[in-house]
Amino acid sequence: MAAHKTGGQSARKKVQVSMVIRDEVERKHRAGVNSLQYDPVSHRLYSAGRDSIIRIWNCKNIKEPYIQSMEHHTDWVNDIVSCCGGKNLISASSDTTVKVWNAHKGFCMSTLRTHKDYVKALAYAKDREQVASAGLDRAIFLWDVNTLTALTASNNTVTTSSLTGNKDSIYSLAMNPSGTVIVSGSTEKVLRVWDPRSCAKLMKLRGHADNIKALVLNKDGTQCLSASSDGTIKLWSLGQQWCIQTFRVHTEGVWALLATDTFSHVISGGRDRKVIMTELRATEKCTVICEENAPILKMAMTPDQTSLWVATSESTINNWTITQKDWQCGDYCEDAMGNGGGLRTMGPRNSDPAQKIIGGAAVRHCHVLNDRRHVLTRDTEENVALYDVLKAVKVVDLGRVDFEQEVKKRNKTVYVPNWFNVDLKTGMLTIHLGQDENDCFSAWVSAKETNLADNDAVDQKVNYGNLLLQALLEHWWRPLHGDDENEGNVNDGNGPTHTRGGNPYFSVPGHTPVIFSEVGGRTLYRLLVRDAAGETEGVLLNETVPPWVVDIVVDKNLPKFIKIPFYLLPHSTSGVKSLKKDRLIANDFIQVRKVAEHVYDKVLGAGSDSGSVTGAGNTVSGGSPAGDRTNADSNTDNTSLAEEKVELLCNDQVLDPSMDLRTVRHFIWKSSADLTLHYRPIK
Amino acid sequence: MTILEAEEDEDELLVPPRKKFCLSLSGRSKSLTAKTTCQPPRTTTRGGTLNKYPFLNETGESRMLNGYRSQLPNSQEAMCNTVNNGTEGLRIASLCNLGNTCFLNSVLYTLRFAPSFLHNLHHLATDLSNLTVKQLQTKMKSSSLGRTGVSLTASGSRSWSSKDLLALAGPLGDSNKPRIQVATEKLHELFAALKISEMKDNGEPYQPDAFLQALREVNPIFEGNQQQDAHELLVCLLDNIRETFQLLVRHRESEFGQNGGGSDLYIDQVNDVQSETSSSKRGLRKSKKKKKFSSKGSLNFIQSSSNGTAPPSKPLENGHLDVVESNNELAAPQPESKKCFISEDFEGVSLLRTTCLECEHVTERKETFCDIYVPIDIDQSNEKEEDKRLMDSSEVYRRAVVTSELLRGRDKYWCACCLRYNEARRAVCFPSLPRLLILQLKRFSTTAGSMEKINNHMPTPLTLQCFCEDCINDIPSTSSRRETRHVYKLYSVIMHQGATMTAGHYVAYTRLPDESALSEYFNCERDNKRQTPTQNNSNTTSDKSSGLMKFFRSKSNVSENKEQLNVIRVGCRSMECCGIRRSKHGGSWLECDDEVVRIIPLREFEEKLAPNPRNSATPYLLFYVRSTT
Repeated sequence: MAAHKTGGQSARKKVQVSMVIRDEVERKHRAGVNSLQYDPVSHRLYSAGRDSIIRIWNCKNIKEPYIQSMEHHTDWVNDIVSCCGGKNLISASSDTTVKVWNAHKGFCMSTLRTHKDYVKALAYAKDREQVASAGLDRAIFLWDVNTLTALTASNNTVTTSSLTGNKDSIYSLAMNPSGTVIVSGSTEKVLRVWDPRSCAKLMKLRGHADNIKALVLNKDGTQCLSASSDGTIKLWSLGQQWCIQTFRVHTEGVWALLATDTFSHVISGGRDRKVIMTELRATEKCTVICEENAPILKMAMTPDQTSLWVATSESTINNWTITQKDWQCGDYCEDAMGNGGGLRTMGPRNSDPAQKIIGGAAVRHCHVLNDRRHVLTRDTEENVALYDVLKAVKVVDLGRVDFEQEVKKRNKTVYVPNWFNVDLKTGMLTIHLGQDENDCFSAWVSAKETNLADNDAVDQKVNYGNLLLQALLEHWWRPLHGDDENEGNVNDGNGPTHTRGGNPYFSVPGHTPVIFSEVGGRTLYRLLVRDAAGETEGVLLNETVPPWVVDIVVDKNLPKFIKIPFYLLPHSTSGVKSLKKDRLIANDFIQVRKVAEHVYDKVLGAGSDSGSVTGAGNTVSGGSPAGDRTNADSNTDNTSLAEEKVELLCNDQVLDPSMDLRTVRHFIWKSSADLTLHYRPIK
Repeated sequence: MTILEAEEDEDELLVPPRKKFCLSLSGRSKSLTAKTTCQPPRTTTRGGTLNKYPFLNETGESRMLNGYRSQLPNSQEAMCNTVNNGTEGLRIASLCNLGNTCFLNSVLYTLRFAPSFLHNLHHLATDLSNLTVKQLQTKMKSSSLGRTGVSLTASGSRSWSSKDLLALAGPLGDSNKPRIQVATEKLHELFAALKISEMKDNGEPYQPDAFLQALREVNPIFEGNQQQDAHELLVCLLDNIRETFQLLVRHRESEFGQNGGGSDLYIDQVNDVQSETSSSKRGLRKSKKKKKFSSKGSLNFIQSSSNGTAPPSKPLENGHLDVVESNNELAAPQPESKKCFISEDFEGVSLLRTTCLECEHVTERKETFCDIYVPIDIDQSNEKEEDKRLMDSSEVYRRAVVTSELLRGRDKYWCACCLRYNEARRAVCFPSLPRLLILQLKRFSTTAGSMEKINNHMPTPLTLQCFCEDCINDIPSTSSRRETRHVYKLYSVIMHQGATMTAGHYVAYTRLPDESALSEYFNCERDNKRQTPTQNNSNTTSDKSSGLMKFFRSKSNVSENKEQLNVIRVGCRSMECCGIRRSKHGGSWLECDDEVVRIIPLREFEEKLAPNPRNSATPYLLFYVRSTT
């Protein structure tokens, strides 16, 4: 049984909120391409990207091939199959879902959430319109495509049959067109064969020494080709249940297979980056069609069999010509006959691809700057860029500059706690909130200093995580609280656009995808920021948004302040008598000048018996206004006065009055023990 | 302990055997009192911190700590006779249980019979004692107190530095010695004492209390009379020796710097030291650079140098004279191995190979180890049983140790190439196994919260086929009967008897070294190398009768005595100091159960290793020595 709806919130697993910082339209693949499908009717090429996007390309207009993106997955798309004569597309992803798409219009029709781990492989039986999906959860599910495409929001259940018996993660799957045989390959190193009609196990085939990464069945399901990480391709007879032949044409793992309908030739590719065509009936006859720049993940043949689209772990998809001579495997191949070493030295038939679908650059490295708001990234083309995580935008492209130097240049002496995690698996900058022990609400900063508020405005403390969550769910409709209106008027100088939510300082781009998922597991829901206003989306959000986010965004509760305990003692040169060692507690963003003020007011001002005033556990006053609450700082004069009268030291270093306590602790105190500050009056 | 007194007596007073007699008194309390009354300075050697006497004032003390070197020649002669005449069989000294110290005794018995261990330990102790003497000179000369000590601690960047600091911070720093050094010396003294007691007629069990005390100084976990894990002790002991060795190496380096500007008086010695330390520096720098984990480079260096010093396994056929000749030829100082024998003998390299199943990128991590933790297969499924019956016992260990697992589900692997969590295969193999291989059976598990013992039977093959990477790759995996390039021969087993780790008893079963094991003593040139210049030096200096040289007096006495011996004897004196006597029982198995040590027939030994559901005594630590086929 599979339910076609947003998975209910699991009580056990914590739900995280993620967002992707990207352009509104991503016309190029950002990372490797895991799978390809060629639609012979429309001459469209579908490509499944590791950037979570399936793209549609027009192969008849190679100058401007981009037609459309199909975005709904949140992780690598591992496999796609085109079905119903090209009308529908089915995709499998590492976000653990299988999705059904309208291939012509490019929208997602339904999502199947039966898998519990990455879905790695799909198989399609054309004659029966049946699709099988399999993955690392060891399960194989059989789907009736006509049922899948008929699913609606109200009629959202579908029955599936599952094939069991696999002991290990499945990496490859194949079904013959008539749907009489299905075979799976796994890390168990055996091929398992079933009859999908009865779900009966037929056989196990042993012989490979490593994971099996690709499989092809012939039309009647009597023969099977398998490609393995052990570097071999094996041809099996299912009738006799043995391996007919082993091909050792690759030097490393074989990851992709393509066979002609008649099983006369097999084209293979893998980690050694070579695409090799082998004639099955004459092993010696093989041709290196091309050598790519990266390991080969998938190949698709054009219907006229004159060229081959090749997808690799890089983002560009190349088209390579296959000549008639290659098919016949003429005298060229005969050179390689006789000695096995001949193949290794054989050069590829093509040196350059006939056509290219140019890919984009994937972000490979990143560095979160000290302010915990800006992130420097470097991509596969060595370009460095600066992102503002808080506003979910790219700030500037810096071009090919030295990454480390740029990091050094832009890091300031400021300490802000970690409040998000960065993820680069899709080649785009993905930010996770609430993923682990990193408290998403740990970063309190001054709105003025972070340029969120105008300089002349009253200084407020804001929480980064709070602001970002509010911005991400800005358009989410929810019951209006009584004080919402007032608050909006007080804080929001920009006008009444934020009546429904958001934060008073900024909005994030409306195209930003927001993803709710179980920590380290399945995706629950993905939507764009601007779509949250929709009715359906609102309902789904009500189901999905985790309580810890509701608490902030709906109930508008302020996150807790982070407190720092510290000791305040007179400096040895101050001449002030040492009082008893008092432990004080203050918010971690309190600036040193506030402490100076405290010293001036309470310690020095009150005379010798100030010890009683600053009794243990006292909180340093001032500097605590925060978030949406207005709390004017009334004693500014006093502060500047105190600054002139008292200076504070930590580890004998005089502290800048504008430095905050956590920065002092991190850069000057450098110890896990309680911070100790010394004061001395300025003469 | 006792040996120290004996030696003192013999050395200075030339007291007849009567004294010795009194020293080997039976009974713990008795012997203790006897010791203290007999010789007041004795207290200094017992329990490191008790020593209040600075080195400079007491000539005798330096020698006491390395007392083995002053054994009376005629006593050695005598004992040689006993060996020759020893027809009644074999006497093996035994160790007292000082209260829950069977863990200690079983390990001591094992180390005593471990191939080459005593010999190597002896030379380490000799070097240490030479060092101590030199240290004294330096002190007198430079009259800057603790300069060596300072340089020592300053150079200490590793974990042991804290121990040094502790030791140095102690009350007048137990003769300024790091505690680990004391512990190592005590260990050697203990073995020397066992040797002595084997020489004597009344073989009272020996009390290893001095060593235990020194050990506790270093490792406080052994405080109190708790039952302890024999394995933990073993690891600790080997670590201590290794650290002592490193200390020695550093010491020599710093010494070199200080002696460089020394007076003419010491020119001979300085030369000696110079050549030594320069070579040591080379070696050390090399190994430092490579750090201890990537031992490949430094290992090569060590091998070449050790080949230079000791031609491997020269056949011994009354070959005393031959060796003398070769000794003379090799008069020039040789570069000494700067890698501790513990590292050379006990350390192997394991390799953790992780392969991402997505991109098939391989990451490898090498680690040195001194023992292998063998999980006991408690999964008794039928299929496995069948497998087991087909497997020979070596295969059981290979499968348990050379493993491969999948990281999947919630334990995925973060691949730095894919920048994501993927499934991965993690395999463990062994590029090199040590000459002395220690297998620890995972008998104690904390699965249920408390330490529980797994009593399941694991075979204990007397001959273990090697499972290093080369050996595994050499033979096709299909053949059931495997022949590997190396084989390992069992030389000791420590059995654990009892239900839990904290309640039980340890018994060691070890094999007596056979004749071939003795050849290493005769082929050893480590003594001659350092001995000769020292003799000259001390002779000349004593002629000059310099004030300083009184510290050398006893030493020169010794070496003069030795000079005569050198004519008859070759190789090194380790054999006479602490070595195991040659006996016709070589190769037979001993059961060492605290005070009781007896020879058991091989058949009985094998019975003890066989599965026996009624017996809770199960092999816990297995000790193998490599032999090349």
